[in-house]
Amino acid sequence: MEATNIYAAMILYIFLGTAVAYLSRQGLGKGMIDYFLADRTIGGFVGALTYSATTYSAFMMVGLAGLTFKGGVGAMGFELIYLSGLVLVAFFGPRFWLAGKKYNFVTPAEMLGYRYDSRLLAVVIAISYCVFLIPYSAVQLMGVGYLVSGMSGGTISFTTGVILATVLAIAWAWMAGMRSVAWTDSLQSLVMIVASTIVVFVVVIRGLGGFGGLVSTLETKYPQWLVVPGPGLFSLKTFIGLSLPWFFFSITNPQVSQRLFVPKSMKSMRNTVMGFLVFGFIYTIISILWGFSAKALLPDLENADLATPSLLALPVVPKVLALVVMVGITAAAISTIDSILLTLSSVVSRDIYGNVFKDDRETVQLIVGKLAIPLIAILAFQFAQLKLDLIAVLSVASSTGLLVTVPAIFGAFFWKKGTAFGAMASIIGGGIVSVYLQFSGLKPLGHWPGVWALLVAVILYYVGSIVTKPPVETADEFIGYLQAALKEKGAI
Amino acid sequence: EQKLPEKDLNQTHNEASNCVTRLWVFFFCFLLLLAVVIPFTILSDVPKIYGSFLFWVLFAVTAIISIGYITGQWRD
Repeated sequence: MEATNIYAAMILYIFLGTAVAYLSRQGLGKGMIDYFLADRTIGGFVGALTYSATTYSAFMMVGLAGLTFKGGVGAMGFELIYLSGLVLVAFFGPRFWLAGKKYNFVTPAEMLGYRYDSRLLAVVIAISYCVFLIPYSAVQLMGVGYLVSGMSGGTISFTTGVILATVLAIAWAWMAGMRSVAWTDSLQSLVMIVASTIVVFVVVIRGLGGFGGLVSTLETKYPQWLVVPGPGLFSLKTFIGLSLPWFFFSITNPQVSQRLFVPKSMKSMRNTVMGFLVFGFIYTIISILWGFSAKALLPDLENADLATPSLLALPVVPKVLALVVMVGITAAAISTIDSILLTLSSVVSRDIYGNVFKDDRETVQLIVGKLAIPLIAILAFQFAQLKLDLIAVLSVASSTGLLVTVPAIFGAFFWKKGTAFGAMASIIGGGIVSVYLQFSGLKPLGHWPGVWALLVAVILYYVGSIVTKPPVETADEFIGYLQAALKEKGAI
Repeated sequence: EQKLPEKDLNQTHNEASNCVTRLWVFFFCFLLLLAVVIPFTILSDVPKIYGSFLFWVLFAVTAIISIGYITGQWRD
């Protein structure tokens, strides 16, 4: 594909996104809550779209499609089990929202630090967010670099693609904080889902004679792709190992759990959840059908990661549509990166700077937060440029590494005897187990790192809590307030 | 006709509500268990589109409806 066409498509995308980000500045106030949480005024429609765009990265149309190409229908099972994990928002969403409003929380780490009465715990959680999410952002940046250079046949370099993604993520996050991120996310999520849906229909109808053709090709030529374990990729242990960290994603990953603080009402939160579920269901099915189409049309492809660029290069895909899909995948990556940037910068200013320097001044924290946005982005950019295996390992470990916060989150709302020591022991101990198993490639008894990391985290949280003294007054007050407020709001 | 005291009515309503919540939690856990077990057992010999593919689609739709039910109880 000609570089000039790619540049033209990118310029149009940048112009539209920047215009939306600029317009979102209207009504922007001056405090931390206003900048990082849009003053808790996000409605259901924008809430659903920003939640979707943040959650779904370039992984869907590239990684999940490749996984389907390689392993079959099991990829859909694990992705839909992740989607059903939104049931956790039915429990924790109202709790986060009510606690956030009453105590003025900006980040999930701040909330846990308050509940366990420990500034140190908030710092530890904030550091674990940075350790796992900066490499994850770097992989997203690398994805844009590879996509742009691959689509242009190398005319546009990998570095140019990475720089473009980094600059856009900084600009759109910095311009108006959560407001600009939420509104640009909304635009990008629509581009993502519309482009991918159209291209799947075009490829299936023009390349395979319709969905009947796709189904009969799969059933007659590749029947193993319609069952699990299938071609062998999805054994039961692999399936559980992949599904477990993702099932808890909605409460463990701060870039999405922070969004539980931003709805303007319970009704808005419900619309956010239901809107996301519908979006996620459609986008998952589309990505899976895309992967199956690759199997039916390009069965001899050696590298599953090349399924998407190879499909887009087929003559059945009009060049203009291929360009739009490329922009859609870029949008999926950038909408995830800028959300992570914004969340990590709020965590750096509120939880690390605020607690280490014991500086609770809102104005200073806001300046630190705004300065942190480009600094974190440059760090992710440097990681991406190195192309180290270490980055990929840490990125894969991110969902498992953050899974170890589950016991502390559950305990914060449901167990008054939980302590800061127990929470820290579980997060540090579980995190070390997760990274060690990920780096060594060990799978004791055949189970994946997530299973062991969560088990260790649960044990350490329980043991650490029963040998130390809980913050009884804070726990009583925090849980007592929530129980009364939840009853009033009709939440479980 | 005799009317129950308001206190008793509230208590009955709360108990019924708790019972429904517990049933819902049990149902969802059971649904998740099925989503893992069925494709790896009964459906592992059904290499058709109406096998694991359709099963997981129905699982997701059921999950979405049940989450819709429980969040539908929320009020401002």
